[in-house]
Amino acid sequence: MSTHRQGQLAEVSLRLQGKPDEADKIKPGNTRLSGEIDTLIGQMMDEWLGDADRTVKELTAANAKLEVAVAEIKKQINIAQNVVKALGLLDDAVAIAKKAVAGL
Amino acid sequence: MMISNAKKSVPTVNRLFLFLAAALAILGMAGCASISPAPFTAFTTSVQQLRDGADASLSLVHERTRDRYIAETAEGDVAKVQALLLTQPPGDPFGWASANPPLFLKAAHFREGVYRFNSVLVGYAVLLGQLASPELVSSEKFEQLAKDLNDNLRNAVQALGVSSPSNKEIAIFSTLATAAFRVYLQNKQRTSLLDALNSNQPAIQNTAELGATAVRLTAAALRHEYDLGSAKLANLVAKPTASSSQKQTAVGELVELDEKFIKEMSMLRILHQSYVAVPGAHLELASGVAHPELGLPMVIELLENGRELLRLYEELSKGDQKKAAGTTK
Repeated sequence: MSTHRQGQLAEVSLRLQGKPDEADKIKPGNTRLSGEIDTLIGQMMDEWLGDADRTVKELTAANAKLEVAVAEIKKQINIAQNVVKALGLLDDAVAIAKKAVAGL
Repeated sequence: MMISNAKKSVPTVNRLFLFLAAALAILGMAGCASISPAPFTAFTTSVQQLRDGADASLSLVHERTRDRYIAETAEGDVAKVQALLLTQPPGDPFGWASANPPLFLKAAHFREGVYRFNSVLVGYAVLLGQLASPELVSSEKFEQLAKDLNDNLRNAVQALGVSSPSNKEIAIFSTLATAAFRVYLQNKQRTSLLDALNSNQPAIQNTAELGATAVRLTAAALRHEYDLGSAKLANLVAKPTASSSQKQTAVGELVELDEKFIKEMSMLRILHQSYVAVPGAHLELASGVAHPELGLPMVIELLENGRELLRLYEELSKGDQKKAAGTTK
C-alpha cells in the first residue's frame, strides 16, 4: 500500500512543480494499484468472514454451556422450593388420612 | 399405635435434629465468599463498547467506499457499471450475485459479519454476568425458603403427632438447612464459573485475535480511502487552471480530511488495544473469582478504553453534524 502512496505523492509533486505531462504518465499506474488494493481488501474481508464463522460456532457452543449452568442452579432452587411446598401439604394429607382412619 | 410409636422415638428425633444442625453449621462455616459481579459488569460493558466502536468504524468504511464507487463509476468506468448489475444465483430465489462485487458491497457484508461476531462475544459476557450474579442465589430467596421450611416443618411435625423437637429447634434447623443449601449452590456457581472461564480462554484468545485483525483491516480500508481522497484534493490544489478561492477551498477540505483521519485512526488504535486486552481481562475474571484480593488492571484498562472510544466517536459525530448543518445552510 505504501507503494501506492509513494506513486500518489510523486504524481502530486510533479503537478505542483508544473510538470503535468510527467504526472499524467504516473496516473494510470496509481489507478491500477488502487484497483488492486480494493480487490485485496475485499479478499481479506471474505477470508476474515470465513475464519470468524468457526470462532462464532465455538463461542456459541460455550454460550449454550453457560446457559445450562445458569439454568441448573435455578432448577435446584426451584426443586427446593417445591419440596418445602410439598412439606406444607403434608399436614393436610395427614389430617385427611386421620379422618379416613377414624371413619373405618 | 402410630402416635405412641412416634412419642417413643422423640429423643431420637431430637438427637437427629441436633446432629443435623451441627453438621449444617459446619457446612455453612466452610462456605465461600460470594462472587463480586462488578468485574463481570465491566467486562460486558467493555465488549458492548467494542461492538459499537467496530460498527461505527465500519459504517465509515462502507459509506466512503460507496461514495467513491459512485464517483468513479460516474466518470465512465464501464466495468464498474457492469459490476452494479446484480444477477440471481441459480436455485436461490432470494440471493444476488455480482460477477465482480464492488468493495462497498463486500464492506457492507463484512460490517454485518463483524457485528454478528461481536454480538456473540457480548452474549458470552452477558451469560458470564448471569452466572456470576449474586441474584442467582440471593439471600432474600433463601430467607423466604427458610421461613417456609420452618412453618411447613412445624406443621408437618405436629400433624404427624410428634410433639418434640421444639419450635426453636425446628427454626434453627430450617435456617441452617437453607444456609447450607445456599452455600452448596454458591460453591456450584463458583465452580461452574471458573470452569467456563478456564475452558473458554482459548476461544476468547481466538476471538480477540480475529477482532484485532478486523480492526487492522478496517484501518487499511480507511487509509486507502484517505489516500485517494487526499491525493485528489492535493491534485486540485496543484491544478494550474484552478482559481485562488478554489485552491483555498481544496486546502481547507484537505486539512479537515487530515483531522478526521487522525481521529479515526486514534479510535481504531484504541479499538485494537481493547481487543488485544480482552484475553488478559478474561483471565483476570477467573483469577478474581479464585482470589478476590487480586486487582483487575486489564478489566479496568478495557473499561477506560471503552470510555475513550465513546468520547472520540462523539467528537467525530459532532464534526459530521456540524458539516451537515453547514451544507444545508
